This record gives sequence, structure tokens and C-alpha cells, in this order.
Amino acid sequence: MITLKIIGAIMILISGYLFGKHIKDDMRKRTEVINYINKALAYIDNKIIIENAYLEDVLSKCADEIYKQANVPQPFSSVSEMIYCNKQNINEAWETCLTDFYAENDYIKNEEKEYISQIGNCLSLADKERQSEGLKTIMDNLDKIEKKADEKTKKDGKMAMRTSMICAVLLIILII
Amino acid sequence: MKLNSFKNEITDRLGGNCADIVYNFFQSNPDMLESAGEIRIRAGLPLSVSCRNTNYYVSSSGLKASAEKAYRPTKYEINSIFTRICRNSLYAFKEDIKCGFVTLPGGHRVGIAGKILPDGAIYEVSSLNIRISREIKNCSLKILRHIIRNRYDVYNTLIISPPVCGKTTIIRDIARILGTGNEEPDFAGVNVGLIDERSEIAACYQGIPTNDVGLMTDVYDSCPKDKGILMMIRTMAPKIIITDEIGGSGDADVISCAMNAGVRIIATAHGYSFDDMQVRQEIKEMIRNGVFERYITLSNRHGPATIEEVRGGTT
Repeated sequence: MITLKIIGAIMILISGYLFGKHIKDDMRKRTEVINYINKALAYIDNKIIIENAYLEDVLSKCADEIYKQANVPQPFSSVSEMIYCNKQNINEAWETCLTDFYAENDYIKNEEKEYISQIGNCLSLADKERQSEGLKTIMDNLDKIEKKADEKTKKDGKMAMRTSMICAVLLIILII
Repeated sequence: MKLNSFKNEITDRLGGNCADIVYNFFQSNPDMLESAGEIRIRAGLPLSVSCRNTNYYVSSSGLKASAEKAYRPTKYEINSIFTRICRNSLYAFKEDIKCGFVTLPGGHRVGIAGKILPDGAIYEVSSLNIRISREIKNCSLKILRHIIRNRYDVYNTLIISPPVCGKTTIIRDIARILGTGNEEPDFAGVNVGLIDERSEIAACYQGIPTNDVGLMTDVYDSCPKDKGILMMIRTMAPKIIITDEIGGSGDADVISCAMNAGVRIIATAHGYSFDDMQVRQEIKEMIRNGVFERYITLSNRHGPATIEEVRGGTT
């Protein structure tokens, strides 16, 4: 009987830990996604301004180079593929890919979605200067959101871990 | 042109309903593809295809139809096609758009019309005119007999022709033959410099010609004629420079410069006759200075590139 109780208590503790970790990881992933989108936008901006390269190539290279070693989800490669196959124009392709991207990464919040959604519009502009200005504005706003999200991760992440562990311990006490 | 190439070079790039309709049209009328000249897509107006100077309206099922029953693309559709033609990179085509056209791989030129901004850029596109380019090897042999002076040299020649008479196809073939060599008429093949301002002659993709313009031909793609001719003389030492549609300001000076460097010039100009050239300031000046030794006038009377008149000596 005692053995069973010990096993049950350990399982509750592990579940509590995993639950807390999941919340903390979601917060960390959100910060990472914003950070990498910002890096990607800076890369895209440079490639367009300096090389005048075609968007499909820029987006595909961006997916290869910026996200090469990081295991961070991104919509750029699927958008590049879609416009390369000429299935949709950049605006439509961006919207379609974002729907899947958001569905797969539910920790992305409306706050950053608002700016991420504008990237498609910005990339469809004919004027490079206006495009660059637009991308910089998006980057600035995402940067602010990233800083806030980072602080929140540090503060709330620890709290989530502690709270879930405390809950697990309380549950064990109640059951025993 | 084969249906497969037509699909790869044109309809796949256009995408959307219009591309499917035009593809179906040529699939059910393959003989018309051989002579197709233009595809016209206008907002709210019938989709049409021109073959041998005759215009055909096309229904949504890809069949010949009356104007009332023809497919009418929407403005949104045309803008989507325009974006796709520009590979979703309008910024990369900005200068071409300002000139009113974009060139597709294969050298097919897409003319654009719509609302014009003060800086010359077009936005809110309302019409597209796709001019189907084709490579017809040896189509210039009759004309070359008047251009070739001897096995190693040619006459400075101006080819005068109205639009849609095959000027560009002819000049592409001339570049190929002079830059490769030929048996009849006999020509050894020399270094040729091709100034392809509108990317129509060589149809370069990432700087490499996709059309056969000769084994000894160097190409300046999307390069203004005045700059291109001087750069070509300084850097590539051509024996012959070939360029399309002269008559702009500064062309006379730069062509004189090429002649002083001992380079032969073969060029084309828009016009219906030699007399038409006399009212165009730059060309008039070149005629007065005796720049060209041959003037060949083409028409569409017995099909594209019918020789109407050859001036300047007998051959």
C-alpha cells in the first residue's frame, strides 16, 4: 500500500513538474519565435535592398540560413514554396501559411500576430524604400513585444514551475 | 512553339483562370499556337488572342466565342497575374514597369497599362498584352544576303519595320548566324556584341541567354543602348554590334562612335518605309551622315518579315 502511495506521489510530482515546464517552455518558445522573426526580417530587408533578389529566393535562403541551426518554427519556407509554384501571390500565400503556423504554435499571442500578419503586405510593395521602412516598423514593434515577453518568461516562468510543484505537493498531502 | 514550352514559359507564369483558359484554347487549336502573336487581357473586357492579324475572343471553356460570350477577367485577376509575372517581387521589376513592360523567360514581352504614378510607375494594372516571342532559325537568310559584304564583313544596316512584322525574331537570327558562321550565304562567324535593352532578343535568365544568339555573341541584357554600345566597344572588342529599335536621343552620337571604332552596326527601327525615317530626328541625322550602307524595309504583306525594299547598293 505504502509503495503504491509513494509511486502515486512521485507520479503527481512528475506531472506537476512537466506541467510547469510546459507553461515555461511555451513562454520561452514565444520569445524565440519573435526573436527569430525579427532576425529573418532584417535578413530579408538586407537581401532586397542590397541584392535586389527575387522574393522566393530571399525567403527560401532566409529559411535556410537564419533557421538553419535553430529548432524554431517559421512560415518563410512554405511561403517561398507557395509563391515559387505560382499558386498564390505573396499576400495570399502569407495569410494561408500563417493560418497553419498559428494553429501549430498556439502560444503565439494576438499582440504579435497583428504585426506578423502585416509582413505579407509589406513584402508586396513595389517601392523598396517603403518596404524597408515598413519592415523596420514591424521589427521595432516586435522587438518591444519580445522584450516584454522575455521579462514575462523570466518572472512568470519560474512562478509557473513553483505553482505547479506546490499544487502537486498539496495534492499529494490531500490524497495521503 | 510547342504547347509544353508555351505552358512552361507563359501560362505557368500567369497562373489563375486566364492561364487555364488560354492553355485550353491552344490545346484545342494547336495549329493556331504556331502563328499566335499576342494574348490580350483587359479588365472587364473580352479575353482575346491574335493569330495572323486576326483577333479571336475566347470563352471561359477555352473556345472561340463572340465578344458577348467571351471570358472577361476582373481587375483583381489582372493584378494577381501582374504580381505573379513579376515573381511577387515588384521592387525587382520597378524600372521595367516604369518602361511599361516586363519580360518573361523565353523573351515573351508583357506590356502593361493602367494608372500611372507621377514617377512613371504603373499601379492598378488594367491591361496586359503578352507578345509571344519565338525563335525561328534561318528566318533571316534572305535578309542576310543583303547584309553580308564578304566572308568576314557586313554592311552597316538599318532594318525598318512596323510593329509585329518579326523584327526581333529576324535580328535574333541575324545575331545567331553572324556570331556562329554560315555556309549559304557564306560567312565565317565573328565576335558579335548584342545590346538587348528589353531582354527580348537573347531572353537572358540570370544573365545567360536562353535563346540561341550565336557561339561568338556577347550580350548586354537590360542595358540602355547608349551605355551598352560604348561598354561593348571598350570591353568586348566586337566586330559587329547588333541592337533593336534605335531612334532615341543620343543614339546617333553613340552609333557614330562605334563606327569610328571600326565596328559594324546592324540595328532596327520602327517605321513603314525609308521615308518614315526622314522625319525622325536622330535617324535623319544618321542617314545624312551616311552611317548606314543598307536600309532594308520589312512588312507583313506576305507573312512576317516580307522584304519590301532594299536601299543602298546592289547585291
